[in-house]
This record gives sequence, structure tokens and C-alpha cells, in this order.
Amino acid sequence: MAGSTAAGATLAISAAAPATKDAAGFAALSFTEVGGVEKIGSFGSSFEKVDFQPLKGPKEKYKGPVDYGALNPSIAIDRSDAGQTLMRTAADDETQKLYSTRVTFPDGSKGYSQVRVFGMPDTVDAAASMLMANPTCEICAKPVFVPAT
Amino acid sequence: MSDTETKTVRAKILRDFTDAGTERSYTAGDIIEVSEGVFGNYEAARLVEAAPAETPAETPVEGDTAKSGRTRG
Repeated sequence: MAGSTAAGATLAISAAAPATKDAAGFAALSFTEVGGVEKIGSFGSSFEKVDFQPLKGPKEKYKGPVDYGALNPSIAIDRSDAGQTLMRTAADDETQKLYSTRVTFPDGSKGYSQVRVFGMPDTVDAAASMLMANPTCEICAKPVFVPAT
Repeated sequence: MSDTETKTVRAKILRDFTDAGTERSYTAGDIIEVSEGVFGNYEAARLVEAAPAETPAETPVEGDTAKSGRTRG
């Protein structure tokens, strides 16, 4: 398989939850693309490592609980962008509501997930930098990856 | 946007905004037709609200003096 740059990847969000937590369920949702995304971050689950050191023999390693991870995008703030506004709504939401996200990879494959946005702080850095926002989207349900067709 | 959705909703734009996915810009006060799913996202972001259904323009009814302005002699 050939490698690829990240150029062209997009992040989108939906206020709705899928009827079924599979590719068809997520594909039926309407997503609003988030504008001004500089990077999206990691996407994918990882298992906690559980070590056991027996008195005799090498250290044993086991898969513990799964963590679906988090999306930590960097976004150039645009208050008039619909996707950013919805992301901020999700961050301000004081309920446990899940929002749906879609990462579209440059080859057309898609990664869907359901997230709670735990905050979207603005970053004001040096004069020669953009005003940035860095939402933390904790993935709370098993992500669904759909290969490009 | 969804690949399958077809139902549309009339929406009133509450403030100026742009959709990065469609690259369309919207102006406060305008009335637009959007799919139900897109409306749900915009409404959750407080960018739109449901607009009243379009009422057909009133046309004078023959013999209706109140609306046509004509009177019988």
C-alpha cells in the first residue's frame, strides 16, 4: 500500500446519534464539516497494558481494558463557521449527550465515532500566529472504520 | 451531509455563517431549505430556527368586493 500525506483529510460533526452503530447508521447522518482544521490527531483504540511478572520466567503482558481514544484537533478559530460553532455547542453541553464525528481520510475512507467534547479552549499565542482552538473529543463508543470504496 | 437524506425543512438564518463542507455562506434573516439532518446540526448550533410554512400569495376572488376593491353598481 502506498503512503499518503494528511492533506485533504476532513473532520465533521453531527448533533445526531446513529440509529445503528455501524457504517450504515453513521452514513445516514448529516455531518457538518469543521472549517479551519490544521490537524486532527490520533484516531483509533488502544488497550491498557497489564503486566505480570512471575517469580520464574519473563514478564508477561496482557491486554487490559480498551480505550477508544480521543480526537484532539487544532483549529484556526472562525466564529462564523458552522462546524466550529456546533463543536463549541458540544463543548458547552452540560449533559452526557453524545455527538457523532466523521474523519474522512484523503483516500476516501472514513472513521466514525461518538464523542463527548470535554472542552474547546481558545489559544492566544504570539502575534505571528493564528488564534487557535483545541477541542478534546473523547471517543465514548467503539469507532467504526469504513474503507474507501 | 448524508448520502441518503431527502426530506427538507424551511429554516430561518439567525446569524451569518459559512458551511465549510458546502462552502456556502448564509445571511441572517434569509429563509432556506435544508435537509432535516443539516437543519438539526444548524439548529443545535443555534444558527437557524424553523421557519413558518410558505403561505401562497393572496389572489383576488371574482365577486369578492373586499379583496378585489370593486363594488357593484
